[in-house]
Amino acid sequence: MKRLFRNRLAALGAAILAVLYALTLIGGFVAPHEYRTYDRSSAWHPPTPVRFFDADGKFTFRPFVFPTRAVTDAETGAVRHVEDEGAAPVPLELFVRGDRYELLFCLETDVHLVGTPRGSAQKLYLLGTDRSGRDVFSRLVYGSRISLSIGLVAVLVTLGIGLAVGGISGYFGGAVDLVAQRLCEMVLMLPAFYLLISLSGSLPAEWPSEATYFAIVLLLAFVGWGGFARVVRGLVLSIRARDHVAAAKALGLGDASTIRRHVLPATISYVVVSATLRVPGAILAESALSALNLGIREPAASWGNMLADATANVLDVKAHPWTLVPGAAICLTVLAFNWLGDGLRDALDPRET
Amino acid sequence: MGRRGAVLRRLLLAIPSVFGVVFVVFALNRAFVADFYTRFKQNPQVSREILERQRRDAGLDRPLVEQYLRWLRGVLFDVRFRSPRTPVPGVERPEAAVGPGPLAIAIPASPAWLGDASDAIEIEVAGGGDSDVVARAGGGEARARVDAGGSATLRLPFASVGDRSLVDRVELAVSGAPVRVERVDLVASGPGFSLGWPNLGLSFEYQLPVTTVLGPALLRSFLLIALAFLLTWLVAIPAGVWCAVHRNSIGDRLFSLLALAGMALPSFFVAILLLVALSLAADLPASSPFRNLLPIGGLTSPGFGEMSLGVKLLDLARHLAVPVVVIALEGMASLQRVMRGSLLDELRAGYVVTARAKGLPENRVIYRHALRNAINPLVSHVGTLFPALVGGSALVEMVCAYPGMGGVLLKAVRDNDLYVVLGANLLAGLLLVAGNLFSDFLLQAVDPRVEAA
Repeated sequence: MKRLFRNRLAALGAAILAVLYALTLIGGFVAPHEYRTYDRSSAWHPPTPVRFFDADGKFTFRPFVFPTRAVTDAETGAVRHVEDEGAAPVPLELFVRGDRYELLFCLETDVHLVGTPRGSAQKLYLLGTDRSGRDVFSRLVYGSRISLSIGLVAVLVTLGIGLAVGGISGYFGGAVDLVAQRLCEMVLMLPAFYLLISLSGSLPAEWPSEATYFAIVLLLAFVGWGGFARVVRGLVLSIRARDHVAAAKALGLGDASTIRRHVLPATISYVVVSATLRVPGAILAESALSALNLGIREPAASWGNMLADATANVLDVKAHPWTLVPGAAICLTVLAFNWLGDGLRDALDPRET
Repeated sequence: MGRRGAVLRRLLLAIPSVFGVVFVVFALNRAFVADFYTRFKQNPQVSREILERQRRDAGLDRPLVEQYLRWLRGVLFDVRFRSPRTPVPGVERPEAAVGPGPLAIAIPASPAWLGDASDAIEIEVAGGGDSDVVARAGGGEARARVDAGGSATLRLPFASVGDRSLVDRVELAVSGAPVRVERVDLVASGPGFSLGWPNLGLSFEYQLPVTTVLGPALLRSFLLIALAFLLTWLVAIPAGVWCAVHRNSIGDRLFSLLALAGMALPSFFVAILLLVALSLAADLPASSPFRNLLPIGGLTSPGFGEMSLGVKLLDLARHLAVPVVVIALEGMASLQRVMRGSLLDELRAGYVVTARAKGLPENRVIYRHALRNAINPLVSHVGTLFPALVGGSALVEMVCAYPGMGGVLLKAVRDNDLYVVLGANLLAGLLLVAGNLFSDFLLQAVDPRVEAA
């Protein structure tokens, strides 16, 4: 652990991830709005600038925002929201009441960390709104539930399958090994992305987002376990020959228990590193699918499906650049996982000791 | 197992796994998703009867396994088994004797009739007494004379009948005494099966063979991947070598940072960013040289057909630039890291010390001795790069509206054009198998010590 955090990048990655996952847990509190709350009259609303200096240029401890008014472009008919600096400023308040949500998935409440008072002329859109007038920041926070967890869950399932197949295959050898290895080779030779696209395209659109979520987890695990199982098998082959395994067998421990208690635990360092480095891939795959409208479907928010408009029409982004923020969030997460994974690998690498 | 054996084993494994996966796609699709024609049911302009007929003609009303097997038959050289002699499907033979005069025997259109691979229609007539019988179907004609109490066979080869989808009846003209029609059969000579060109079924959306839809798309994707591959190597190898030689210099650290960032950026996001930048450039004043720098999306500009060859090539290159760069960037980072690491390993080896000790110039030590050995891990890296390129290119194609396999697949998935989806998966799978075999082959070519596992 100490060696891990001596690596500054790894520590930074771990810190970023800790913050992001903590945000996921208290998301409803941090987000000013609920992810489904929409306001068609403020579609494509730009981020509301939060002001700390009042009209006289004096600093105020209570930040405020100006209300915006909708301006219709006479030529194109496009609606823009322009800050109205002549209007009365709307102060921001802590612990305001707003949409109802469940804090920590159990306590129902309507208190939000920050926002404009209920019924005021302007709502707080820290990162603007999307085409239906939903707050991008709130959806980003809610979307992290799906985007950050799907990578972990998918990798856990992948590891489960990979450890089981690799462990059994390496431990028993012989015909079992032969069959298991051919299976792995078959999975490795699949065109993974084409399959993901085709299979997730087959998921019914009317499924609830939880069902789609687990279907995508299974799909990701299905195309991903092959390579992992192969490496585990290689590790198990060498562990099997060690004395403590022979001792366990000599003491009359059954095969299943031996594998579970004495063989697989010895692969732990590889498994941890591999898992950390695999999570970004799963997150990227989910976001790509969702960005193509084949993954998590609206109104549920995921970082991928928040990019769907941008993916479908680049010109949308040009007019509303704030819709790209979820992409930056994905990059940050992936980067953090890569740093942490590289750090873990270096820290656990026995060659360096 | 020798090298040939390993190649053979992989092929033997690859083929069923690709088809197995295609079956999974098929099964899931048919289990969960309504078929192509369902969405038209909401459309009051489309009649129910026509929809039902189209579904039936496409075989969508048959059991799922049969649908899959029919598709599979088309892929496997369209193999069709046939018996030497079968009744023409759906034909009712007249009970009573015919003649003198004409008779039309109707042949109802059915998949069995249209899809049959026989050589000829045979009509056996009997009875009569010195009757002349003429049979006509399509453009073919056969004549026979039937003696009293005897029988005769009229043979209408399909070569003379012509397109059987246009043939809906056999006409008999009998002069003289009446004859009985004993049988109306399809007959086949030669082997008990026929082979055709492999076909991947018919696209519902385009009403064209899937091979016609996917073929050009496959070529375009291949062009994209090949160019991206080339660019990846042209940049990553020199960069990797440079970083290994100038280890821990500022440039090396900068490259490491860039590579890490490159691995973290999702390719479709990079593509969006580049396209947004280009569309912003289009808003620059007309005098700016960066205005209309590159087109956003597509493969050709309007009016491509009228351009001269040189302008055509330039236009293609301009459209290819963004997707090629994005796909190349994806593989570049990892390839550069592998090259750097591998060359560093070699530079620590004993023979490099020897070479330096005997006074060889440093350039010769690095480029003639170490680099040659450092190339091997790269070649095996190609094997892992190839699937990434195929997958990555699909996504980038979708964002850049590039009409390659990925773009066609996405559209087909959205339209529920089942056979195009199956065909794309099949081709991508075969492409991967070929790519892996190729990289194995390459590895053995550069390093004779490698025995295929």
